[in-house]
Amino acid sequence: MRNKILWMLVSCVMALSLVLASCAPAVVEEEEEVAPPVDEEEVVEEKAVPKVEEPKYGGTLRLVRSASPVGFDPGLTNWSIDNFVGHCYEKPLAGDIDKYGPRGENLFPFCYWGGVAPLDYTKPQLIEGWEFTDPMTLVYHVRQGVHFQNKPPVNGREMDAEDVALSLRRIWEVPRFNTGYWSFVDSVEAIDKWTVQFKLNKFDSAWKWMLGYGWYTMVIPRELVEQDLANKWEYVCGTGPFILTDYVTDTAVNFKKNPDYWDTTTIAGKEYKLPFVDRFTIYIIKDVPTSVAAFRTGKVDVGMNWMPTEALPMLESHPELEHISHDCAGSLMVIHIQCDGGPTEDLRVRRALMLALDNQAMLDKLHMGDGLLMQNPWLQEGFPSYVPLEELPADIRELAEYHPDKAKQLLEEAGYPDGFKIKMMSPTWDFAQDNAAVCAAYWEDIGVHCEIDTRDMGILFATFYAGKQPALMQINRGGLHLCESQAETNPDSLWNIGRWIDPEFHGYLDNALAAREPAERDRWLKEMNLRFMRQVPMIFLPNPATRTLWWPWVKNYYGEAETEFATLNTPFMRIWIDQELKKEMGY
Amino acid sequence: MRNYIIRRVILIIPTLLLASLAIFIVTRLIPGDVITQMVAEGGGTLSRESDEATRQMIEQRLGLDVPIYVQFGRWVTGIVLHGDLGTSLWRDTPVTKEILQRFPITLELGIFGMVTAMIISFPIGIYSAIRQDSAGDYIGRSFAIACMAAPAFWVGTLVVVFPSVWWGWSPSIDLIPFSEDPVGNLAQYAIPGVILGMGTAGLNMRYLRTTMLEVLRQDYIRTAWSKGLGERMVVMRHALKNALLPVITLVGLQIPVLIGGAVILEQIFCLPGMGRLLLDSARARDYTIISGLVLTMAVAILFVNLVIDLAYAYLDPRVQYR
Amino acid sequence: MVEAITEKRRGALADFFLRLVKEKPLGALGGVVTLLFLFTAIFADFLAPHGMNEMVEVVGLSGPSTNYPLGTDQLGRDILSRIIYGARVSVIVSLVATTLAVLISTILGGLSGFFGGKFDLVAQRFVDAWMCFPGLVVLIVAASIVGPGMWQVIICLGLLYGISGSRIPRSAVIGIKENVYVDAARVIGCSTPRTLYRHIMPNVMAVLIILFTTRVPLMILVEAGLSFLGLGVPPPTPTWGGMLSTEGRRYMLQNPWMAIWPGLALSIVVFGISMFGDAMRDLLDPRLRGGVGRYGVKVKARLKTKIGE
Repeated sequence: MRNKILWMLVSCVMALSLVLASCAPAVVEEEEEVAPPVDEEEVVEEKAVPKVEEPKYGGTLRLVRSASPVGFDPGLTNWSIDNFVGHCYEKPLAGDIDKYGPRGENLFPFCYWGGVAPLDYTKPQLIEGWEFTDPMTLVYHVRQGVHFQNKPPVNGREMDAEDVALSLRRIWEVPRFNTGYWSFVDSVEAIDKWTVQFKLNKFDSAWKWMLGYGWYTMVIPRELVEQDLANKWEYVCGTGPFILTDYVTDTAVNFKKNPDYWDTTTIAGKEYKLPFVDRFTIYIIKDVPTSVAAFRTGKVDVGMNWMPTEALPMLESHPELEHISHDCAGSLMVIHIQCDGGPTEDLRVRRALMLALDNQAMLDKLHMGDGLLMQNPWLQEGFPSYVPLEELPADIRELAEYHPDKAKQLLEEAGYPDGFKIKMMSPTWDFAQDNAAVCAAYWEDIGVHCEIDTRDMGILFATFYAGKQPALMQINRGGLHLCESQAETNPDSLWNIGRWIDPEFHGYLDNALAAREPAERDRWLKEMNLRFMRQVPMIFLPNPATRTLWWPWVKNYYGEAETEFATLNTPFMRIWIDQELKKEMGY
Repeated sequence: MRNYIIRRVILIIPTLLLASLAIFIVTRLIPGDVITQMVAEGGGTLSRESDEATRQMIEQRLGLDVPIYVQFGRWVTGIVLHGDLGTSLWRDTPVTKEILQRFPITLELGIFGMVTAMIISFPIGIYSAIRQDSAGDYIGRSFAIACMAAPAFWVGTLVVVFPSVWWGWSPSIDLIPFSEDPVGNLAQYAIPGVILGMGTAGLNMRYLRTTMLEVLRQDYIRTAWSKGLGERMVVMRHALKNALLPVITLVGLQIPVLIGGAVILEQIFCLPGMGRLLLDSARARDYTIISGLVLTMAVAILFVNLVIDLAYAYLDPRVQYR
Repeated sequence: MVEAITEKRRGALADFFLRLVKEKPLGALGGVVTLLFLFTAIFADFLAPHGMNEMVEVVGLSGPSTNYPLGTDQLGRDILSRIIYGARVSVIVSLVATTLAVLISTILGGLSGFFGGKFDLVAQRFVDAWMCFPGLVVLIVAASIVGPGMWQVIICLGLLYGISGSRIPRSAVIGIKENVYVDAARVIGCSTPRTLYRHIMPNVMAVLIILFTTRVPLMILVEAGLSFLGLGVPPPTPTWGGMLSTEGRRYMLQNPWMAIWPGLALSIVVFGISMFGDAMRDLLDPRLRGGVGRYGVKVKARLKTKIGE
């Protein structure tokens, strides 16, 4: 009898707890108003001029990423590896956040994710300087006194030109590098202990990116290459501020401070050795609600590149958080359109498709009204010669507005008075599906019936690799930059998904690449930008503003992300943790 | 009996061969092959020519340039001779190492799940059978089925999101090894384990209830009643033992679910288990990991099934060994 | 003298329903839920106030209101309509997949059990090989191969559970085969198909019905799990699992209603079908007939009325 009652009691308790757990009361208790959308003019939004405090050494910095590293050799692939080992390895050039960033002249926020710092806002990092000894020969003067980390088999050896040359030469030697990427370079040699010489066959105005701070430019010690240890995390050893100590599979990557790091920073006139924090951990959390919850409970110090739907509620509930908002985060939401066949070959049809979309309504609906209606593909905000949407010519501006009647008219002129059927392939990401659904609804109104095919990224890649892409394909692009321009727009290139070929555009592009003076290069970039937007080879969707949030105990941080490609060590080594403040706040 | 055991063990071999062949071929049928992904993800290629050159280099490096039967042969010889399941195509690490790192995590999660399922399902199942159609029966069964009806990812998300908002607590995002902090480790696995167990408890409970009801209608039970035995004696000594036998089979059927099926919870609670490895590898088309992992799971399940079959044969006097 | 207890003769179906309502009220409730579910699915076009993908509001994420009783989702679509249409998708997926699964199980398991010998041996090796893969693993790999789509999901689920569930009809057939009447049928010269149809099948039916009713809610839940992993029925088709796992989770803090309604619908339907299935099994399973259970209930009821007079 007793046993029975006991079991009944246990069952009731469990039932009760289940009911409690499942019943989610409306959590947003007060009827809060959503924070007013960030003024689109501002790129950098600072809370207040931070008081300059005396930095303290010590503590742990914790970050979150949503994908595991697929390896540790910077030569094997570019972004997902660089995001992790980018804290250990450095590059010849780097973005100059002290001078041009929010700490200095505030010309560029350096907060783009997967984006590119402008070519003019860089400084030599692992080199002391560069020069063109003749129009086709570039010379790097390698910095002296920089040591690799003290780990076997390198054991703190000093870096020299041979390491730099070897690291850069790997682009031709390691499989999985794209063999066509450096077509303008003939050879890379270390001609003496401190000099690296590049022999070019053509001048490329984006050379700083290609050879200095972009993909595949991390400097690794020659022992790792010779002994084939570059892909093993136990041996990752660079010149950077953090030493990789531990990799817990798919969970966390742990770093510790490099005590012999060569660089210093100046705060309020005093020079400090870097980095400040003792330990640095990157957690790998794939699931978005989990990582948001982890940030909210103080388990993670910096939350990078959050969409408005995640960031705004968090800022509501925790007004003490520091944050920075950037309107485009260097990534474009686009739908590639087939330009070499079908109804969309006609420019009028492409323009019609864009005119039929109400960008403002889409922005309000999908991203809480927070972001850009249409992003400039080739000149994002912060880049010199950026021109905001309001100042662009009227025929480009109207693409971001809502003109369904004009769209219908254009369709009629092009010979499709009753519309037509079209197919779109879309990845499985949440926002991609929402974008696709909304676009299809708007196009339905002008008579274009769009069929959406949702597939995972592997299949999307395979489809356009095989050349079988449908008329519309939605893929995020990490911004369009001069350095990637040929890949995106070459007639024969894999990533030219719409197969768009435009001689006028290519003329401007060639001029931009050949221009030795930045001013001339930017002039051609502007032309490229206008021509590209006019020709509508892609549907430009509204871009959400993304935010980087951090707790108040993270000091000396201005929301920067990447200074070189996929490398975040430059801002992060300047961070110091106020451990007392953290304890005070209860974390 | 001995013959039966030998027969059973021998029968595993053709099963395993069939299974490994199936795995090997099927993983390569997934569209969007791995090399295309690597080339495309590499980023800026300028022309189809350079794409093809890169592609060939990668194929060679990964050993994918030989015909499929050669690859299969190499794989099988590797397993049989060296116990080597190959190397991951993306991560460049031995597959065996990847799997061994994740096995204890899946095991611990699975054990928690099974224990929870048993704690919930056994008492309710037995009670529901003895007191069929009573109020207690309904409450108990409703509870067990309610547990099953709430999808694991929903409960998991609720547990992660709302406590962080209400009480400032969220589950650990770092793996706590048992050796360092036993309590923390158990706590980390307890929550997803309980949710996992709740999902399977409903099924177990209903099955146990059915077998108990069946057994309670047998003649020997009626004899026991009429002999005047107390209810406890009848249930515990006669009914339960016989009712448990099929449940052992059911528990055996749950093992595959626990081994591979905790994918969702592993993702939400940051536990790098075998299920998550499989999902990530399927997305990345990492053939060697998928093949090695599925084969490992298959071997584990076959082994567990063998043990259960043998236990069943040993315990149940009615089983004929033909 | 005790009067002979006479029983009114009723038709089998009427008897079944009466027993269902009188003895198993929860099961009857489950039956009502199941019927409602089917009704909603079939008449979705008439019941839903708006289209399933119609964006009725410019800015969504609103709670229940007079216009939209369950609120709107992030794209401004009416949640009530999407739930109603979601019922249709859930019904199609679960019913067709379960039918397919039970068909495959019966044919494979039944024939294997009936013929035995070499055929059984080989067939069971295939089934063993199949069953040593965890279900979700097979689904993930299969879904990656065939891609997303409602019919792909149905076929994957049907095939998976069909083969792995073939043990149940097989053991039932083996059990029935041992009976004397099967031997008797053979002795008098019944052909195999006739034996199967007239003697084996009716006795296996009960098991099959139970198998069916237990599988249907399972299919709905598995589809929900697949949607979470991105492998289920692709959007914008609304499914309850999909609505929960994608939009419901993402906007959980801003508009919890988006997670509550599909979750409630899912839970209620799974609960109802499961209870109904249990009640069916209690009433139909031949192994649960007689004995202390039902006999006891009937006798007690009679005695009460008799003694009470």
